[in-house]
Amino acid sequence: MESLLPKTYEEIPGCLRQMTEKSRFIGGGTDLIIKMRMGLAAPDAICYLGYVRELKEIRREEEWLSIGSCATMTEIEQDPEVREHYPALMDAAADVGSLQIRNNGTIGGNIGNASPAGDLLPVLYLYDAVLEIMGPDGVRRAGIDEILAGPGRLNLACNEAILRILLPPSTGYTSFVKLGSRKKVTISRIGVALRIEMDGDYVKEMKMMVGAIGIKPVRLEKAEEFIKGRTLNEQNILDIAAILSDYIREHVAKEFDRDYKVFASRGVVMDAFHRLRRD
Amino acid sequence: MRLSFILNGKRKVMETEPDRRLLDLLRKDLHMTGTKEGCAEGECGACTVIINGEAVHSCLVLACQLEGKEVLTIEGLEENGELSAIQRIFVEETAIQCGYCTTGMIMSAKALLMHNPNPTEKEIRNALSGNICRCSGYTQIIRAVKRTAAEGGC
Repeated sequence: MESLLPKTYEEIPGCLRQMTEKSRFIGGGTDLIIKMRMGLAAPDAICYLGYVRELKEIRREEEWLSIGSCATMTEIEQDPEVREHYPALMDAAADVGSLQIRNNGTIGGNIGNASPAGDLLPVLYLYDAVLEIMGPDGVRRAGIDEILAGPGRLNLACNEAILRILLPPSTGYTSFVKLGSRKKVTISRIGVALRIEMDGDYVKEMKMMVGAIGIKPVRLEKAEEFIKGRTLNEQNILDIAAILSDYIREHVAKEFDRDYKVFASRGVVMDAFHRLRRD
Repeated sequence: MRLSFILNGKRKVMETEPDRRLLDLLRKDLHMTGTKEGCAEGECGACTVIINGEAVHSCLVLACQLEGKEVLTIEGLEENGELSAIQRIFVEETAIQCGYCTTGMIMSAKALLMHNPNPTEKEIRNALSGNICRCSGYTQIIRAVKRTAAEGGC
């Protein structure tokens, strides 16, 4: 097994040139190492970008937030900019696995693993995240949805690395709530990410992304349309929960816990709306 | 590959494979068997060690990720041949039954106390939520961590 271990930003392209279809990037390793031991991945080379200082940084770039792909869940959860301007990302990072997993697992790895239950994915869709990608010959940018292809699949060449996650300025109130089968150390069964802009007591605009109910995060446009111009009273929130239940009943296969998710979606939606208030 | 890192305060240079797990490096290559292997997939916390001040699973870290990093294991806690305060208090409070989870539990608690010397019970429970004990009801473990904090040592 080869290891490709760039120590500086300038060394990355040279390492990328040596990668083949069988090579893999490792972020924390919390998913890849398990896959390797199960025989689901047998890379000829592993590229670890965690020694490159710039890829650990979380910083403002004018109005945007730039998150290095090797930033851990703990670093994201504790970052003051994330907490103030992207609280739904804080919610999602804080709820990943156990503390040991959050201290090790990275945002780049969460995207690269491309699990339908990936905790950060609905939130990255919510905030319209843009990925900065480096190939052997240069850097390009693409929206998260252009890159995420399906379970375990990305629209990236084998020698392209995710360097940074860029979040545009966030407006309105945002939140994320994950439902697992227990409180901690759990895999997402449903994840609801919300962004709301109010006009007085009325909803001006809502964006609602739901994770773990499809191969990629699902945008619930029907709910977004429904709530526009209405107030956030309990009945309206219950109606949104019903729209999600109906969607799950129609689109999720029975073997993916459909009946449980149809039932449980109500509580997740209510929690996500309550969390918008941050009190 | 040639790996150079800090293990329990001492520089360690060794020849290893990039995909060698830290857990195997410790147990099989260095014969430091204090760190335990439980589930090998990041669910149980038995293999917890401290890397650069943070609790992580040694089953989910590879040698190629360790260059220059500081690793602390249960073997690094003793002071002058004596158990450290947290180890002694775990014994005194009977926070150990079969003992298999104990090193991971102590390393998670140690990492918490390094960051937060006066944790609340909720913070202790949160920090230990990735460590599974199938003997106790966690009561004695929480008590031991609280007492370690109260006595100002870890």
